[in-house]
Amino acid sequence: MDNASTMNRPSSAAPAAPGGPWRAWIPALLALFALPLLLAGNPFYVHLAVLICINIVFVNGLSVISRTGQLSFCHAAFMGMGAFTAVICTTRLHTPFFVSVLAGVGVSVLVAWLLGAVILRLQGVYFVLVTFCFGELFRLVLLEGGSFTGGANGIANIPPASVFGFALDTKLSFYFLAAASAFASIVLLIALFKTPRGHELDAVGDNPDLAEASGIGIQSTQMFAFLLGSGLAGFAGALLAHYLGFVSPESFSQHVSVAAIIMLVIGGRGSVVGPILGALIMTPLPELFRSAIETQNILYGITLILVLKFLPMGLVGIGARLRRKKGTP
Amino acid sequence: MTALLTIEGLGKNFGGLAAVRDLSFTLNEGEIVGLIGPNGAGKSTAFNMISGALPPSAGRIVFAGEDITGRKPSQVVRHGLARTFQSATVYPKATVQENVYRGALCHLGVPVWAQIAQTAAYQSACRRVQEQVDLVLEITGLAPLRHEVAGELAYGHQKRIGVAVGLATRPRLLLLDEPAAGLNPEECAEFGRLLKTLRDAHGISLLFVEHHMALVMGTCEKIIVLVQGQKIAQGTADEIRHSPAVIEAYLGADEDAHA
Repeated sequence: MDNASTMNRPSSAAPAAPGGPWRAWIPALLALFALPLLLAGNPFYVHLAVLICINIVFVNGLSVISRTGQLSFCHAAFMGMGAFTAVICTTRLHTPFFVSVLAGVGVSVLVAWLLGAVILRLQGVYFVLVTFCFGELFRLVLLEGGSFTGGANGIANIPPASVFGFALDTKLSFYFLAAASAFASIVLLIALFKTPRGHELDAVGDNPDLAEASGIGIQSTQMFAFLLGSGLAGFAGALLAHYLGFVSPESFSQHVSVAAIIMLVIGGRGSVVGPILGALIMTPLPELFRSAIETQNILYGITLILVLKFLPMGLVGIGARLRRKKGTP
Repeated sequence: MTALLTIEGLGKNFGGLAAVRDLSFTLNEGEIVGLIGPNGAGKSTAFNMISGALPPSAGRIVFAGEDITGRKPSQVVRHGLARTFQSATVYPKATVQENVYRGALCHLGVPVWAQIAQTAAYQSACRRVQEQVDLVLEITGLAPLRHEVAGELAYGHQKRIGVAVGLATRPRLLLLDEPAAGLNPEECAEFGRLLKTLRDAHGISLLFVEHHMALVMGTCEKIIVLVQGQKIAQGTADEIRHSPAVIEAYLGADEDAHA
């Protein structure tokens, strides 16, 4: 991924030199996030932009977990945990928005820790199956939760988010919070994957046996990624709930977990750019194809198969391929 | 000479099969020891128990005065006991120096928040890691290939990278699983020289499982022969060559058959 940067510094084995080249990314990112402001006149575009930002946070979480070689099929459950915890805090305990979000993230991380301690010894398809079951279990718990979770009706009339006393009750004002969150999660990932800890995540994903034999514990590394990734999902959920003003069990079903995986695979695994591209391209599609809701899932399935067949590294892989053809490292 | 590794009554059962029975030996600081035997003799099982990949059914493993029986490989390696793998085992998508770097992270000892904040302690730890990476690339002769992607290199180079990743963890004892397997005679001789250098110039003790008789006889001071899970002989190359028990069970009348 960072071949280019290591070639420039011949004696360095890849950790970022202080003030390393990743800081060059920040202006480009800021420009990207400023783009929707030009379309601020159309509320539909602003709405899409908010959803894209929340999905970036959400898929970033999944990408951290996948870098250690595990595929979580219950990512939406952790989003739901963050959402429902934050909403229950806001509506029942009347806590400020920030406290509700923190509680949502905290519960997601705590549950990920309890679940991870049991299931992270599983590898490959077994991990996928167990996480799938957990996601379904979580949805059933929400449905049977009675007045506490609102059952199948969910919880409505959630007060809008407020930051430093400003109520973010318009789409545009919420966009600033969503964009700042997405930006922060991207910078966190870029910084993390430049550190030794980030290299350890990749090492476990690339070759778990060799990692374990050279002092990088498989389970502790995967646990770290699972906690961080699930925490990001919980954060995205808390944001989404306060943006839409409504949560229901169906908002966090398996379809949402699958959507996150599709975004990650199409954007590209193993790169910080992948989740951004995936969220950018795949978030607007369901909104555009609302009339073809029946055929939508078939199209996704076909796209996923085609991408895995011809672009196993996702859209990010195209860039790498082009660079290789040109002969530059 | 002091004992670095002491194996006492080590055993492993797979169901009703005793793969290793009552294996005991010691390896002294600075020694090169070879573990040989026919296929299915339990060499790899013993090897995996010592490196922590398999928990033993019986016995004790003491390394540098500490009982490490049943500890995981990632814990054992922090005590200074590293291993390599039989097949070429590398991080295929990473460059050679990134491979070595990942091995050297084992002694970084800086929490992740300090890594992101790039504290002074982290920066000095990074310099130590970097020095170790450069040193290991130099010793193993991989320095000219440092920017190559590991998965695209020849088999012999990948085996060398495997050793380099192990060396990056600063081992006192390096376990090598069939280091010569799949190498041509020239690469094999070069490998033998590398092993001698590791011990003579860097004080690293070595224990290896090997089929290649010329390499074993040429480099090991002590050879242990396993047959059907049991140690049948131990001694210098000459003693092993002339031991009637070994000739009957393993080497055969004409030892060249295995060379």
